[in-house]
Amino acid sequence: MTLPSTDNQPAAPAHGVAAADTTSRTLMRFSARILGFAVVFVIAGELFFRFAIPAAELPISQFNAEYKFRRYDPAGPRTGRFTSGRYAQAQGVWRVNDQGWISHRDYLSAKARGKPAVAYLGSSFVEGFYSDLDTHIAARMEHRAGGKYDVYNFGMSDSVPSEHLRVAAYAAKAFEPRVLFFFCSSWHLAASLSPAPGRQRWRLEGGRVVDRPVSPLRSGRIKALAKRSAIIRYLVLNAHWRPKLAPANAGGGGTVLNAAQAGKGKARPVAELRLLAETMVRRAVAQHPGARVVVVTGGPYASDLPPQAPLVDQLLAQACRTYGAEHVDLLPAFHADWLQHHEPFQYAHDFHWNARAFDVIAQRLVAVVAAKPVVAAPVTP
Amino acid sequence: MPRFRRLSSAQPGRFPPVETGPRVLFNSIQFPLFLAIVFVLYWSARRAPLQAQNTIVLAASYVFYGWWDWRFLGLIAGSSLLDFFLGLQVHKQRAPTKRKALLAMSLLVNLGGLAIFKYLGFFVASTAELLTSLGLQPNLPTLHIILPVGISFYTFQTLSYTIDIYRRKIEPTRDIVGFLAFVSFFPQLVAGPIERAAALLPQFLVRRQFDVTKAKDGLRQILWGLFKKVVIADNLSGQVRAIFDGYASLDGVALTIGALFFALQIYCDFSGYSDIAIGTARLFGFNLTRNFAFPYFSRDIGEFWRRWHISLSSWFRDYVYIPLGGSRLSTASRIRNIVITFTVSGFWHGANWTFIVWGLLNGLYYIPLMLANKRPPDTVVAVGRLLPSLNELIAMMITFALTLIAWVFFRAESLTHAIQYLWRGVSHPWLGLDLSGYGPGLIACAILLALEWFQRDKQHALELSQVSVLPRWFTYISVALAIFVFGHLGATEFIYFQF
Repeated sequence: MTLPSTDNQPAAPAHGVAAADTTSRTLMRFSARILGFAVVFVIAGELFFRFAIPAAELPISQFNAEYKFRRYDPAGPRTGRFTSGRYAQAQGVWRVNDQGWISHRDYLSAKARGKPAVAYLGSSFVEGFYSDLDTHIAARMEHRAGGKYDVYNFGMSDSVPSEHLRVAAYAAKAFEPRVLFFFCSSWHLAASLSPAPGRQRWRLEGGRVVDRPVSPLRSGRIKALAKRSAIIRYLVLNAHWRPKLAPANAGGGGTVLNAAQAGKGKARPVAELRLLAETMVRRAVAQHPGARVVVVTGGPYASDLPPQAPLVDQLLAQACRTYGAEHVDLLPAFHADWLQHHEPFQYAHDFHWNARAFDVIAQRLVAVVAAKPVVAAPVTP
Repeated sequence: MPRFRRLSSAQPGRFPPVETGPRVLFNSIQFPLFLAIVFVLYWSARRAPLQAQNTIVLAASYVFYGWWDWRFLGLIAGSSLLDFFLGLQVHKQRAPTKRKALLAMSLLVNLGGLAIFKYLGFFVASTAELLTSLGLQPNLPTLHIILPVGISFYTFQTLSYTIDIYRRKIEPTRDIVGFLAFVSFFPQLVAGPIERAAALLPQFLVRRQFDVTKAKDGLRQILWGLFKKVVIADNLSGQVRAIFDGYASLDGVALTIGALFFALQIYCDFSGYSDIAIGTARLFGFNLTRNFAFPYFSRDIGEFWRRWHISLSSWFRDYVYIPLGGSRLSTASRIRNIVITFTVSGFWHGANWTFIVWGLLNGLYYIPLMLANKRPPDTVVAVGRLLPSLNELIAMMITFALTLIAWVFFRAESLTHAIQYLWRGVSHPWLGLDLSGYGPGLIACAILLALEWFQRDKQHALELSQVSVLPRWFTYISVALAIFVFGHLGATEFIYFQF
């Protein structure tokens, strides 16, 4: 078999121009067809992921320039349905209150409400997108406490302890809660060192923890458009798909720095974790004189309940003893409830806390609040 | 002895659904972007001299391959250049001894590279095991050699080039860019189909015309390949791993389901890759060899091997079985040739005894057919009928059952694992276990097989050109949505990359 030679084919065929034009037109038609398919697919996908398998809906984040933290935009969508899982198995209706937080109620100043308030700060684990408002920690606590005090949720997705402190400063000034619960997931403590726009993060400098400057959170048009797309929301929030254009944890991001994983991968040295825990607790106590500062640890965990508290939780407990904060470990409460009911505390497809966990947490926190008298903040005339 | 870091995350004999880093896998977000860029550049150069298009293909292929590890670009370029020049020399030489020596050099370098990268560790470990079993205490080093992705595929491709020149079946090309592009052609570079120079190289040496029908069908084939990979194969892989790892507590029914799932997993994984490769090549005006032709509808093992990994089976037929004497020898010699060919084919898949036994087993399955002088059927099963006859159904089921047994060896971590798996299935046929967890997987397998059955006389299951526009587009949209809803979108590696 004789192979043809490219030497004989230096340029386009002799009948060139007409043939080339035809090919151009064919290519254009082909491209138009692909584009047409893409448009039809996007329309079908948008309909499918809005009605057949509804993609999660999210409120819009807003940057509070005064206190430099994130909350939700009360001028944006006020309610929506959050779904999770590939088939939208878990669904919960969220509501953004007038103050920009996920809550069944609007927050009132101490004077307006006329009774004490309890606040809790944390990440998406306490924020409560995954279940209905009446199952949230705040609603369950108020119900269990018989309405003796209001409970304000300051949970925010992706929030980490360094950011909790920022939000707590605002919450204390605006609503004067008498008890502040800081949910410190062992997943998130070390993430306080990872820079992120719109978020208070720390850095280590000469063996000390110092604040990074907070850059404003800006939501570009493309990002805003992407958030409106049901297909993209489905891929990101339901299918948890993240295109791997860069190695995992590139740029120091990621929060998989669980104490249980200390010593593995990019986990922080124990001395660093201790320093972070101490900074967190010391600052919280110093920032809120006269209020009860309670650090809450105990999950969620990537798998089953561990037999004992992970290292970060232990370090936080130790820091609480050192700096005079209260500490609540949820792990014994979870163990006890599991022994009694054998019901999971996380979703099968997602390890965020479910309504069952919220109820256990609420029960435990109500007991903590009840252990000491809660006095309403002094109301200034 | 130098120690190398193993680069390939896949290890022979193991089937992890590897979450990969930033690589241009067919099922990654990077690939459509890469493909779109190359497509635009390639067809933009259609009026330029042919070399320009080939240069674009070559550059794209080297980017595609270098994305894995740029250090191996030297290996593939060196191997290609060597065969390019050896091919010219083999053709030029008149003296048989010199021609033979040049061919031997090509074989030595290509197979030697393959032996070092793929098999040296296995031989050292096996020798150490043998010496230990003899009561000796060998002090052999443990080798961790990087396995360059796709080395088995492109080595066979370049080998076929020099061998065919030696046999005077083809003439060598003097177009070095075309030849380099032929060896490294990115759609089929890392996992085939293994193309013969006679079939693919001429396509690089003539101007390609954009064929809209071919391109559209290429897109359909890509879509179907992606569906098989991310929806079926990747979803089955977790259950397969669970069953093969936890076989000791399962019964025969569950273990049969495990083998069935693996059969479908490896089929969808590999044929999915081949579909995407063939479809991608068609977008650029190339025709690649068909690699799978609905193999699980085969009526005997001979037909199965005409329908499974066709490019490799035919390669072994032409370059191993026939040179050994093929079917023109005595019965004993033919049996020997069959066993050798299948065993070597097993060994090609990886340096592990499980692959060797898998190949051997297939060779043994083949012997009765050979003794009965039975030729595999040339036509698809039940032509012109909706359902197969009872005889055809029984034949298909027996063939499938035989392949399932062989797949257990292919998937197992070791021979002991495979034997214990099979023995467990026989000794504990039914323990009344809850099998409902396998329901979705079984339904997915049934749907896939049903779709393929109805399309078994086509090139692939989405070849719907005879269907009117609305149902056709509805099918495409449904398949694309299914990829979103059910697919594993984290770009898991294809199983055959490890070979």
